[in-house]
Order: sequence, then structure tokens, then C-alpha cells
Amino acid sequence: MDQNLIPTYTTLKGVGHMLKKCSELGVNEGGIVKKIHLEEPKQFKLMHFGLLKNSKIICVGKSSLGSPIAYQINGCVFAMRTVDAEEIEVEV
Amino acid sequence: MKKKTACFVGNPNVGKSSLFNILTGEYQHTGNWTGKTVENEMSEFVYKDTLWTLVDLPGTYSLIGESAEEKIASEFILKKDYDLTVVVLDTTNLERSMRILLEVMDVTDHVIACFNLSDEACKRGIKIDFDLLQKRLNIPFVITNAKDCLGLEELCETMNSFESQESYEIKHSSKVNHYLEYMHSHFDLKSGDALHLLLNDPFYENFVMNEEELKVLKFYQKYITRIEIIESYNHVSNELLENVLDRTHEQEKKEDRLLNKIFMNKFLCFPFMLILLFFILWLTIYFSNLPSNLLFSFFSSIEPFLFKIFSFLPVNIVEPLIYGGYRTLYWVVAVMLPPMVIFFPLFALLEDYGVLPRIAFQLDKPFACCGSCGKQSLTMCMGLGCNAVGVTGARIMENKKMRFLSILTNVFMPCNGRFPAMICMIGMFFVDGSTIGGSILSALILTLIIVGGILLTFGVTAFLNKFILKKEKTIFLLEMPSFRKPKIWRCIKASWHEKAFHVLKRAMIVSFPAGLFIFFLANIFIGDISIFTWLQNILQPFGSWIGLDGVILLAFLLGMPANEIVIPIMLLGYSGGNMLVEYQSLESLKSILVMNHWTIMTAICFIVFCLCHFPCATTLLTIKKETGSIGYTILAFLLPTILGILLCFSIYGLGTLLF
Repeated sequence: MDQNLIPTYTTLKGVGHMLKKCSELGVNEGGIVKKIHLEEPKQFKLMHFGLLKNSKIICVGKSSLGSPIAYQINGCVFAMRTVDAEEIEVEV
Repeated sequence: MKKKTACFVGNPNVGKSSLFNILTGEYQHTGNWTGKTVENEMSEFVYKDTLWTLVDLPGTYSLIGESAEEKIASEFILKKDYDLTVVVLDTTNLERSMRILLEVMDVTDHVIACFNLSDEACKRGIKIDFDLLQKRLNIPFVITNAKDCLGLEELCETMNSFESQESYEIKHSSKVNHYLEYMHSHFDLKSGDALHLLLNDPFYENFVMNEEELKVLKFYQKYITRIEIIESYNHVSNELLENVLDRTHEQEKKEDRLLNKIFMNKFLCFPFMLILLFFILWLTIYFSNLPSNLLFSFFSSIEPFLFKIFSFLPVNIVEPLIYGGYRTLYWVVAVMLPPMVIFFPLFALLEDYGVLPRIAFQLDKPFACCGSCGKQSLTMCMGLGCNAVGVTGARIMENKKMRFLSILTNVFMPCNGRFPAMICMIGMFFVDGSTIGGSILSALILTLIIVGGILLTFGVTAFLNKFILKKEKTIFLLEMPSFRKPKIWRCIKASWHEKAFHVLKRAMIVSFPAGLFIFFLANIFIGDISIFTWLQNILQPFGSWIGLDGVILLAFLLGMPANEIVIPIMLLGYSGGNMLVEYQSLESLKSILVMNHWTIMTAICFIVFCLCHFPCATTLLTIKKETGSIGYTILAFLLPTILGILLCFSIYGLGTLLF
């Protein structure tokens, strides 16, 4: 894999049909959003960052104390807390 | 000349404000983070035969959003009180920008699409087929790059020659469409308006005619959610973007990769942030020393001339004007101006670069433990410039509890009115700041003081969260924009224009009358002693108890209108009625203080009290306005004051025990 490329869905290895919690993605791992179990206001806010069903999400970094995790969707990087990320299921 | 109105709408942080500034020649400060613009900004410009009134709306992700800024923007769009809407799209994230474009197109036909940040998309290797997209949408397109002022001529030209035309018909998902069909059969509305009516937007209340309709509408409202509507728009935008957008060659920018590595690194990020803070403070201290001294000697050298010019006036008028007003004024200018002129632009550069959201990202966990969220660090950063701005900035917090926490603790960040006073104290009593080594040491001390302020913020936030404010769940969702190299000169000019001179002006307006007032206090005698001495004697016992004295306390009290004038009031108080001392340099100031029994202990207590005392009048008024409660304003006054007194008391007590 070319080092310059940021991982996109197509370049990721192991695209299967396994559901995983979003918080369990390692750095530079990604998947496709399948289920969102968050309450409406939070989900609505996350939609603004592009978190919709079937969008490709990639984990780009974890903060040094573990809690907010940075994700990327369509080139937009955003942070959410681990507790919220646990409520999102992705297919890897 | 024709008169027309246009508004800029788009996602946050796509450069609407930058475009607005270039077109209108305004200096509205831009920043590389979400939520910089919170209110409608209006200005005019002329292009050929048309006078345009431009409205810069706050960034919004959707017209059906809930936050205050989003409501401002959507209300403006729905009112249709304009000739033209320019939707500014982020070329690097078309998926998201398309949704707002479609929402606007659903409401009005008068739309121009303006694709900004085109150079960023190129750099990252994102390929977009604009021709195909335009064929599909059938609205005027402009491709711009606000950073290098490209495409603005075309934008103006398109705006002038705009004629509304039959544009793309949005095909919603079957469920949304079902509701829409019902709405169309009852109301004569565009589909966007109908959707807003379905979502019970209060703006549309007057559309509902009779009880029957209201009943049916209420019934439908139960079954449609905002999420479904957004999903529907998303579906449409995905279809439109098919074969238009090609992300397969996308790359991360080189500078992004390096900085992300540092800011996302477990061990590097915190030291790096501290070094950044230290470096800014050091630059400020080192480079403000010389201009500060020059200003001092300049102002004191023209003092005799002023005496000559005003010699036609009687002495009892000239003396208060010059010894009281003029000296306080030139103190404020000489001490405040150089640090502000250096600090504000440096900070604005960091802001434009996109560093602040990363800091919030790393600090979220500790803030979460105190019952707040990482965004509080953004308001703290604003507070470092001016506490009143920090208090207003607390609007970015998602819920009331977090907002009040950041409002009440903002005062623990020393603002620009206070830290020059601290620099001054450090320079007089600890290290000589004029050499490189000395300035490094004094920047180090100042960094420690600010870190102390940050720790106090954490402590007080936790305390308030535990005992005073109502429990509420905290949220943290924050976008982290990619790093953007700011236009350096434009950024510096904007920060001078908007911040430095604004703050200085406020300080100057206060300082002259305050100086006069103190002079009279010191020179009007009741019996044997002046009013100033009388007040000072009352405060003296309490002051000496916490390591300060009556004059210092009185100076802090009288310095309420603007913290900048605390030190000049103090000096005026010490020199009392006989104004024989001129403040030519820090050395002469130190001698005045030492004559009045100042020791290093006093200086330490002064700095602590300066960091931790009641907010200035402007900040208090802003707190009153933002919280809408006198109780919280009083709390904001008492909390830091009591804490400061306790801290000074214990430091002084410990100091006298040890030495």
C-alpha cells in the first residue's frame, strides 16, 4: 500500500461481513456504518459530520487519555467519546 | 444603481467569512474552527451597476438544525427576504456540502453554488467533474479559492447577471415523498418549506388554516423525523455525485500528517502544547520589552511640553489632567500596547492554522472528569485574549451546565489586561526580562502561572459540578478541520484591527477619567487625610493579613472597569499627593514599590490575586447578559475573589512561617 494514501474503504484489508463496535476499530482501520443506537439529538449532530448509514468510517487517532477518538468520514475528521462510539456498529 | 441583497450560506468553516471579507473589505476575524461566526454579519459592496448588501450567515450543517446559530441561518433563508443565495460549498467534502445546497434549493430558486477551497481539493487529489454536476443541477456554478482571491470576479459577475431558471427537481425517498404529496395537496408550498412545516417549525405557524388541517398535520408530524429527512437528502446527493466525485487518489497533505502525528501522539502532545504556550509568551515578553521602554521615555519626555501648552490654564486644573489622567493613560499604552500587538496576531495565527480543536480533543478526558467537555478549553483560549469574549464564546457548549461551567471559570485565564501586569511584576521582582536568558526565565514563570490558572479551572469546575450546578449529561462532538496555512499578513492585520486596538481603546477610555478620579481622591482632604488615604487605611488591616496592603486592594477595586489600570492606580496611590515621581522605566517603578515595603512575598501575592480575583466590569456585564441571572453573576464575582483571598492568605502565612 502506498504510504501516502490514507486508507479508504477499498484499500482496507479484511472487508467481510462482521459487525464490530466503532470504538473497537484500531487506528487506521475502517468499516461501513450499519447501525446507530444513539438518541436522536446526538445522532442528528453526528449526521452533520457524515455519519449516516452505509458511510465509510475510518478511525484516525485516539487521544492520549483514551477517551475521545478521532474518526474520518469523507475527509471530515471529527472526535467523539468512546461511550458514544460504542453505540455505533460497523461492518468490517 | 440597482440595489440587491445576497446571503452566504454553507457548512461551518468553508470560508464564507473569508469570501465576505474580501468582497466587502471588512476585517471580520476568521478562524479555522467550527462556530467562529455566531451572528449575521452585514456589509455592502458595489460591483459595476449593482449595490450588493451581503449577509454572512453563521455556518450551518442543515436548515433543520437546533442550535442557536443554525436557527439564525435557517430563519433568514426561510424568510426569503433576499434576491440571491450563494451557497458556499466545501470542495474537499462535497458529500456534506451537497446536502445543504439541496436543502436551500428545496426552499428557493435563487441559488448560486460557489465551490470554495478548490486548491485544497487539488492538493489532496480529489477529482470533481464540475461540468457533469452542473448539467445535473442546472444552477450557476462558480469555482473560487478565497485564500488566493481566485474566482471572485466570476462570482460577482454571476451574481450580477443572475436569472432564476428551472433547476433540478429533488426526488425525495418514498417515505418523505409520501408526506410531501399530502402537504402539496393542502398547501401551496415549495417542498423545502413543506418539510419545515412538517417539522413544526414555528416560523410556519401562520400557514395552517383550520382545525382540521392542524389535526392532520399533527398526526403526520408524529411519524416523520429529522433524521429521515436528512437521510433522504443524503440519498439524493449520493445519486447526484455518482461519477462526479472521485476520491480514489486522495492523499493526506504532508503538513497534516506531521502535525497530526504530533497532536495525536500519546507522549508528545502535552509537552508540545506547553512548549507552544511558552514560546508565544516568550516572544511576547522578549519583543515587547524594547518598544515598551521607548514608549515610556517618549511619553515622559513630552510631559514638559504638555505643561507648556496648557500653561494658560490654572495649576489646579493642569496638575490633575497631567499627573492623574495623562500618566495613567501613558502607562496603559506603554505597558499594554506592545504585548497585545505581539500576542494577539500570534494567537490568531494558531487559531487560523487549526490548532485549537486538537487541544480540545486532547483535553476532553480531564474535563469530562470535572463534568464538562473539551470544548471548554476553546473558551479558555478565547479568555486568554479577553474574558468577556471567552464568556460569550461559551455559547459553543452544547448544554446549559457545561456552558455555565465555562462562563463561571473563565476568569481564571489571565486576560490581556492582566498578564502584562504580571510580566511587569516578574520583571521587577524576579528576573530581568531585557536579556534573552531573563526573558526565557520570565516566560517560564508566566507559563507556570497560566498552568496554575488551568489547574484552578479544573478544580473549580469540578467543585461547581459537584455542589452547585444541576446534573446533566455531557457530550463531546467536535469537528477537527484540516490544517490550513493562513494568509499571514491578512491574519495579523485582522487581529490588530479587531482585537488589539479594540481592547486598547477600551482601556484608554477608562484610564484617563480613572486617573483623574484617583488624583482627586488622593488630593481632596477631609480633616488631615485625603480620601484615598482614608479608604486605604480601612483596607490596610485586611490587606496586610493576606500579604498585600490597602493600596493594592483599593487599586483592584477601583480597577474594576478595566484591569489594565490596576498598576497605575497603585503607583498613583503610593506617590499620593506629591506627584514627584516620574515612571520612566521598570527600575524607577520598583523603587517606588520597595519604598512602600514591597517584598518578593508581596509580589507573589499580587500575582496570585491578579490571577484570581473578581472579573472586570465588562466581563461581569457579559456574564449577566449570557446567564440572564443575577445570582450567577454574584457567584462569578464571589467565587474567584474568595479563592484568591484564601490562596493569598495561605501563601503569605506559609511564607512568613518559613522565612
